Amino acid sequence: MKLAWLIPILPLLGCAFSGLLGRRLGKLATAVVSVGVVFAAFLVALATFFAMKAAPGQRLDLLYGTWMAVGTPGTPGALSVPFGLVVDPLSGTMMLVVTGIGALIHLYSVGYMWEEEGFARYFSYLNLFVFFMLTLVLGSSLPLLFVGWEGVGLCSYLLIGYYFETDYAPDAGLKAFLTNRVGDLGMAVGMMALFAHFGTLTVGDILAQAGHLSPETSFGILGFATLMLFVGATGKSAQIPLYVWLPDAMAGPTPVSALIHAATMVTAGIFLLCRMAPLFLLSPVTMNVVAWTGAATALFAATIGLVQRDIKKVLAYSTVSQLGYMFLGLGAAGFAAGFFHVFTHAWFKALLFLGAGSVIHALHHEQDLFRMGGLKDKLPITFWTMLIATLAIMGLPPFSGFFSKDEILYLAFLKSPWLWAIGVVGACCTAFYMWRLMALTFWGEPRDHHAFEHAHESPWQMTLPLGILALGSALGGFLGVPEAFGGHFAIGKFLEPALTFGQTHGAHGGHHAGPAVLLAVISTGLGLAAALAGFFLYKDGLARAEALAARVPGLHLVLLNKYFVDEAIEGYLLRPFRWFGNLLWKLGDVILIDGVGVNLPGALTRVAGDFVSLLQTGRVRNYALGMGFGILALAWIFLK
Amino acid sequence: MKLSASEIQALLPLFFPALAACLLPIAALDRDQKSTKWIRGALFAVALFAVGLSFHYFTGLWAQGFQPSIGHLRMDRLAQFTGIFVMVAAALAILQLWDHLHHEGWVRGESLSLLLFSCVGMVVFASTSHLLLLFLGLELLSIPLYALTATVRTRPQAVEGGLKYFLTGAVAASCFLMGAVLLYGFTGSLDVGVIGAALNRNPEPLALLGAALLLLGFLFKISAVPFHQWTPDAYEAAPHPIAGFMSVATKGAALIALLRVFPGALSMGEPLGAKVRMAVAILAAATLVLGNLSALSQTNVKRMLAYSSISHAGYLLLGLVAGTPNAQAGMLFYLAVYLAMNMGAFGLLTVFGLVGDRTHYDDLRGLGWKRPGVALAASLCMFSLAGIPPTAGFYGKYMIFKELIGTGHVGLALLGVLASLVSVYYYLRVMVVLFMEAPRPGQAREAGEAPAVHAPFAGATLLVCGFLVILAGLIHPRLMNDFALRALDAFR
Repeated sequence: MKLAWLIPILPLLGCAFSGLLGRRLGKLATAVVSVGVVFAAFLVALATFFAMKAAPGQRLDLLYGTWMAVGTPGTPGALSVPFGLVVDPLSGTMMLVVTGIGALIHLYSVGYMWEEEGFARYFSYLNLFVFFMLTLVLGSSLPLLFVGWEGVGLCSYLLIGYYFETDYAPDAGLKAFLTNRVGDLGMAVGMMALFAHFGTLTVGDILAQAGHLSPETSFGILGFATLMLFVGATGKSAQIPLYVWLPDAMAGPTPVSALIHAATMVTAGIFLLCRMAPLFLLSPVTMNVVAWTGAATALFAATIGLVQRDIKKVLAYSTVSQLGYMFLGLGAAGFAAGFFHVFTHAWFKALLFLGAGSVIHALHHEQDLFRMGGLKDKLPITFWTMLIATLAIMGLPPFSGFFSKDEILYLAFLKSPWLWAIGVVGACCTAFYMWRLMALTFWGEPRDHHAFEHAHESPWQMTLPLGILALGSALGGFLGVPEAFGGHFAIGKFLEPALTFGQTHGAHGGHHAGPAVLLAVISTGLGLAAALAGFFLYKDGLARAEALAARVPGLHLVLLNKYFVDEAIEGYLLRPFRWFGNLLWKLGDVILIDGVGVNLPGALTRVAGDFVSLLQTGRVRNYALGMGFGILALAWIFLK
Repeated sequence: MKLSASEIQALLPLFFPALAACLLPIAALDRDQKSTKWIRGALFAVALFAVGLSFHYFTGLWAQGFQPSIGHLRMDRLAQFTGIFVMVAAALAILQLWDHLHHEGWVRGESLSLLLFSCVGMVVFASTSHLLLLFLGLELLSIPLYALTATVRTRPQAVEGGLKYFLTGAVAASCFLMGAVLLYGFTGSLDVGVIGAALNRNPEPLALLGAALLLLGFLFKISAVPFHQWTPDAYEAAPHPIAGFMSVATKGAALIALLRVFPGALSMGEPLGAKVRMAVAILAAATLVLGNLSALSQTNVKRMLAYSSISHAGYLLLGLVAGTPNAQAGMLFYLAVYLAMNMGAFGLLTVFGLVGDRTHYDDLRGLGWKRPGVALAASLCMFSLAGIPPTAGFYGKYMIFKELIGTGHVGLALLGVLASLVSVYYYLRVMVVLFMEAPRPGQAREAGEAPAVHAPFAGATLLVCGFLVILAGLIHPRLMNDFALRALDAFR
């Protein structure tokens, strides 16, 4: 597949086109080109995908030259980084998700953003985002992956801060960027550790060497490296403690939220772990950290989601929580299961965000759930598609979320029943807040009659993607029906060569032990109960819920304020930092460096200059006198 | 007298500039400036053509690797390097002079004649180690320059500057002559090589004094402290292109002559060589400090450039102190770079038609936006003078400092780095006023009324200089190996 390089390059060209010419050529040309390049990239990706499936070893290594070469190859410390792409089941699936769902989001954006300022700028950023994400996914070496990694960070900053005239959007963009920088540092340190240990940064070479190693019994260099990579992943994939940027990222346009949450940025961390899966399997310590962090995040974020009023905030915490499930799966050695959840989640979360966007669009930028209501008949397509997504995310069989989430919970149970229990409680919360959201939006009496009167279904560019995504949300799960339910976990089998890299110890545990079906019945049953609770509590308005909240005011307050995490970070982390920075600035920089270090010598030099210019009297006799002194000096030196 | 073919080849490069220098005043006997622009143009074209022919012969000799000589005049590689160097500087100066003299309203053929005579003198000065020929060359290059300094003789300041230069120059020349006499008296030879050997065998105090006086003659032309004080006055008085030419070509020729006479011949033996090196090191340090500090407090750009040329004499002399072949080659490389950047720096004043005493920083305010291209080229020259990479000026200084450290003169290298640090201030200030400060109200009105400054040739030279400064930085290893180091292999 010679043309695979087109997959990332096409969106880049689209970015250049929209950015440079978009304003001159108008909205229609911008829209056609921007959406067109991503669809074209999807088609090329599709062809590449099938070429990869037919290729020996299900792997395409495309080398386009050497990017960096330092030192003599073969000697210690020499670094050679190829410029190449790798297409295997993992990156192939991911690239299809990125281009496919990305294309739908692009199409949807045309309708959503048509009236907005900076239409061309928006699509330029959006295309750039897809380009960097594809670089991240397809890059054959960690540095190239890192380029994409940093690039999506940059694009998220640009897109979250898209409404840059507002107060909150630039701050939110900055928060996302800075929080990600913390993770990026971990990623960079991890890369250095890997280079120090393996002497290469090419993914294939590292994994091939890792194949000869046996798992670490204590915390060693591999544990450190993988833990650092995981720190990077917590930044991009919004895990505790670096999740704080994601809810604020809702300041961007809604399609951007869908793009960041479903298809691209947040899945980068999961992708990184899957990419390096054989390495993580060598470090049990890191695996435990991953699993427990994931479980904690899943529950923590879901509880916050229970009480949020902003429809997008609910979905944001939902994403954080679902990402927690994915890490829980990875930590339980279920790389295929975790990645399967990325895949199903991409469908239903994109659908939920686009559906929410459709609601917001219909209500003229109203995002407050408490001011919605009764929209079921006004927005039928939006309602029915979002209903499917809700059923999928709560994990009701046979919708897609059921299969992926159940597989994760099952593997978590095998690792530790406690992890399973946390996951199930989180799942109940998920079901509750999703049905709360649905009930508040679509059922009951309209709480804002003016907006309700003007509400109308969205144009086809927006509803068509909704339909396609609904189809995927409903049926996507059948790609990986677990063996416990009579399936073959096909997606797991398909991904296995990429995840194990031809190694003997399997990427996921055996499937014949444990009461798989029983566990699924329990978790689904509890989820259904929670869903019903959520639905009936909010179906007829807010009165019952408020009565309930009044009975546990403390808990409600804590949840409403997101456990006061932002406030704690501000008070205990940022304020001392700011104080220290102020000190360095005012004392260190202004007084010591600028004053004593720079301006004082400068002033002294000037004074010296003014002094020596006094020697230049303008009188020739003084000049001759000076020469006379010079002669004396020369004579002294020569005769000495 | 019958000249052999090789003797003719040795003379040819000097013949045409000298011939043109003799012919031009005849054509320029036109006291009331009634000659048409056509004739004036022809005079400049002839001068340019003579310089071009000379350049052609020098490069021809260089390319053939042929090193002829006639008597004590040796057209070896070092002399050919000097010839090429001086002729390029002269060509740039002639082009700038056309525009500048028009701004001054003073276009006479005699300037060209004097310039060409001076060129011939410089090449002679740098291509012999015979005391008489050296003195001949020194006078041949100096006397036209005294007159050139006072070119616009209706202006009192110009005459004053020329006279100051002449008086101090006469002192220096008589010292040189006195030194030559002493040396001849004690050794009985006019050949520097013989003298050097004799002095090292038998260091007579009076003969050593003679050597010191001889050294003074060179240092005066290089404008090293404390023989530098004529420099700002003379440069301020001279037309900008002549000031640029003096700062580049005179300094270059004198440095190369010094290179040939002292480390090349006189100081072969240890006792005398150590003394010369000691003297040069002390004076170079003083030159660096004084030149840079004085440049700092100037308000007149032209005087600043004069002090800058003094401080550059310091950097160049440091190359002599290190004394290794690489250091000397680095000095030659830096000289070539200095040619481009300093002609560009003085060209900046010409391009904007700043004549008389209107050469203060304030007169440059906001002018950069009028002709951004040439102002940018001039800025590149300033960056190079300040020694900021990747311009060629950086590599020149770097080569010299590297050799200094290699030969154990760490303190001097440190001083050089600090001095160039100080120099950044006054070089960058030019760019600050050019681009970042608005013109004064009066100046703006004046500029609005006055016709636009027309300086096509000076503008072109500036662009060439800016380009060369970058290019030489990019290909500095090749320039170093193919040009500077090979200029030295002849007389070593």
